[in-house]
Amino acid sequence: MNTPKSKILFVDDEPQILETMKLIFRGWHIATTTSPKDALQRLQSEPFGVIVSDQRMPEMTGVELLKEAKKLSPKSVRILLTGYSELNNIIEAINSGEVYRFIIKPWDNEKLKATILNACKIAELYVDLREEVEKAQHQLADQSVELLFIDRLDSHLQGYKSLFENIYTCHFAQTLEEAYHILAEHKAIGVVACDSTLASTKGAIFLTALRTMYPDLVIIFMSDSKDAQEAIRLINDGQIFRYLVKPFPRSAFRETIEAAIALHKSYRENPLNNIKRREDKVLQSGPVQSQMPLNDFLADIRNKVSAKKFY
Amino acid sequence: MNYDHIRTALRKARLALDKLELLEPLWEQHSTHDDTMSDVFSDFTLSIHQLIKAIPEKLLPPLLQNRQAISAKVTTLSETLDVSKALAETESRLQAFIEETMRSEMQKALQQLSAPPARPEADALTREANDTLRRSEARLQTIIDSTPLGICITNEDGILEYVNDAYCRIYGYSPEELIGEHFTKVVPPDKTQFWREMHDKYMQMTGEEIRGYSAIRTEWVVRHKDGSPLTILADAARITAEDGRRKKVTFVMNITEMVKLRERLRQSEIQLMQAEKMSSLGQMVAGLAHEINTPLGYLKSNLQLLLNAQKELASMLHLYQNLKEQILHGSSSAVAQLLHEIEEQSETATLYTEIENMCLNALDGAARIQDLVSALKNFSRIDEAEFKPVNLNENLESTLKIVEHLFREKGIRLEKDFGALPDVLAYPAQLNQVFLNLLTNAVQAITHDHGHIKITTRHDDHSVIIKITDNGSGIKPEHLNKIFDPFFTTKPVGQGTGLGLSITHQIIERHQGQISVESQVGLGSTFTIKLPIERLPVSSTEAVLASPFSEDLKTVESPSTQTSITT
Repeated sequence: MNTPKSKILFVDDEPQILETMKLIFRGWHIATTTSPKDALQRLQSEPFGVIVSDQRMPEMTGVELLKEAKKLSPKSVRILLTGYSELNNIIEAINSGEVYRFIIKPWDNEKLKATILNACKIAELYVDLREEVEKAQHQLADQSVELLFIDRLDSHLQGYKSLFENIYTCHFAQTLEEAYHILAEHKAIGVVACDSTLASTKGAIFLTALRTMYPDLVIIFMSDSKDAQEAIRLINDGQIFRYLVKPFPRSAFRETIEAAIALHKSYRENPLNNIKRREDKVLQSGPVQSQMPLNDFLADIRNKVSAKKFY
Repeated sequence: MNYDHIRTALRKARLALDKLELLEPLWEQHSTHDDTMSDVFSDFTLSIHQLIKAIPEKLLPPLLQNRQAISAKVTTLSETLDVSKALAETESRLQAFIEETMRSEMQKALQQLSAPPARPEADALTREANDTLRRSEARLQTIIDSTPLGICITNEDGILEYVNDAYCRIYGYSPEELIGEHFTKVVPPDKTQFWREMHDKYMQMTGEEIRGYSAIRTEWVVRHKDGSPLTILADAARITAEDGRRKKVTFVMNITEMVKLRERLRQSEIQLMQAEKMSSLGQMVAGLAHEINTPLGYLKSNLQLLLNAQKELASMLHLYQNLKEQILHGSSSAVAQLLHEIEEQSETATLYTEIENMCLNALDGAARIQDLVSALKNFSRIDEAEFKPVNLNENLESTLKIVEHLFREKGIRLEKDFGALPDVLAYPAQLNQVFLNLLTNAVQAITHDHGHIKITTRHDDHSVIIKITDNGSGIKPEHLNKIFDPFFTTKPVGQGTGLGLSITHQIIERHQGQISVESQVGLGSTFTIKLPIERLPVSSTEAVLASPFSEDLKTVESPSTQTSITT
């Protein structure tokens, strides 16, 4: 394994964890600190490609640290390494920390190394995607963003419709099959809001599949139940943009959709903004164009996900 | 021959006769023959008629064999009264119990009458007295008929002499099915003997004993006609009839539904308590999972690293063995080649130099997990006697180990001011729950970054005193007297069941101790627990065993479960 160029910052209040990291990442460019405040200071003075943080720490939580880190060093890839997955923390990690990976202790050294190596490469990739930038701008930059809402309940779909149909071109699907076909036909769809009752029938795998095919899709996950394991998969495999817990206020939903549209536009303008594109590039997996029936395609993606040698 | 009918008719005739007898003084004194008298008289006659009707015609003396004639006679006597309707009315007429009360009312009326000398208006007075009598009779009858309270009267032998409507409704019998029967008809068969003895005892008591007697005044399980169990609340009074015989008046209230409701309430309370336990357990598990997964993280990771280092060493050793072989039996070029390989490998494979660190780290992780697990065991006291002498300082220490991470995460300074404490008899696991509740509440009350929690333990001659003080947000004065109430919470929905402090309060009460709170908004709160050093055992688990043999204990236990179902 070649040692990446980027520097990695490890933050954990347990010195033994940091010592172990030093052993695992011998020969890599790493820095460690037990203090989140210290970590934030260091982020201001030197560039880090990747920041890996514990969740429960005395000064501030890992999510709080990563939220601040995102402001100070937006290009750093953020990873949470935590001893306990409490759903509220995971949702926070998605919604405000926009973390790249959520890793549960105890970890596997090799998978951890592979994940952090990917993260480093993703961080280093900014310069390598010029041509795609131009291609993307050429294709879609001036096209308006369309929305797709996926919900089993027609009444909920009607709700989204009344909120957005006057502003955006909206599509609606009550099944994943429908959604799969609509996306194939309407390339201008940039934001997908999907209800958990549908997604969970196939696991987070459907959303993972969507991003495999359409890396620039911004995905909002809506749930009225809370499942921590699902949420972790949604981060690690699906790279979803937001996790909303139903019921939510209209205003919050409107803001989320608008933020998602803005993000999607930024992906169109510059694929480098899209960590998924960078990850695809690093893993050389690229967008997949599938003609397969949905279920076969999902099975394929599921196999790929479980065969992954990283988190 | 229908003996039941005859008996009923006879009984009614007797009642009517009794009434006639009761009214006789009035009648004699004023020689009036008013409505009341004629009503009672017709009651009597109708009962006789009923009696005769119940006897098969062929058994009647020839004189009475012509029923039509008798019916006609009766009809003339009662004039316009419809016979069957009259009979129905007779059924519901005032009976023995009312008569008892009526008699006193009547005596009052008589006293009124006899007090002034007979004057011209005596007639009017008599009429007035009769009116009063009738009114009070009617009033009593209404009350007795409409009360949901079941009333019955039994004689010295336990035979039911009177039952009111409610009594019949409660048990599902008609009055005919009860009157003349032994009252144990309404108790479960296996309790008959118990009730008979109780009744006998009650009837034989002296007046003095009766006054102090309250054993019957409680809840009982009895039997409906259909066999289903009923729960009643009972009370009794003993009266003496005119003939000097003792009667027992029993009052029963059907509380079956109430008991069911109460049981359901108790169940949901237990469920809520359980939910609260689970919710605090859940929070504790969440915290502890993190506490355990962290050392487990570096323990596992270091073991994986050790495995890598072991591979390096094994490969190095292999090279050296080859080298030895080549030096002893091989060529110099092969030796040179191996030396070069060894050189190369030692440059890259340096992980083994860290083996000591890895082992120390792994051992440290294992030790920390061991600590946490034993702290958990100490906290739960799972393998200890439920009730035993404990040193509360130790309880506090083991609870602190469990919540230590909360202090660390919030950067809260802990100050322990533990004085030497005498042992107290207690339920250590329950007290640990109290300390856990109070300490987590204290941590949660602190929202700033200079948190400070102080735990003080002291004792005087009678009690051990524990104070837990925080410098958190404090409790609003208007909330202070509610915080120990069940379901009172200021936490957002879903974050607290509002039972934590209520359970705490219950546990302290179970220890015959006291818990109090002082608080100032913005400055913090102090919870003070006072537990007695000496106390009497209260519950069965604390009580001294009456015998070392299980059979003995079973027989000791059974009478109480047999007789009373009081919760």
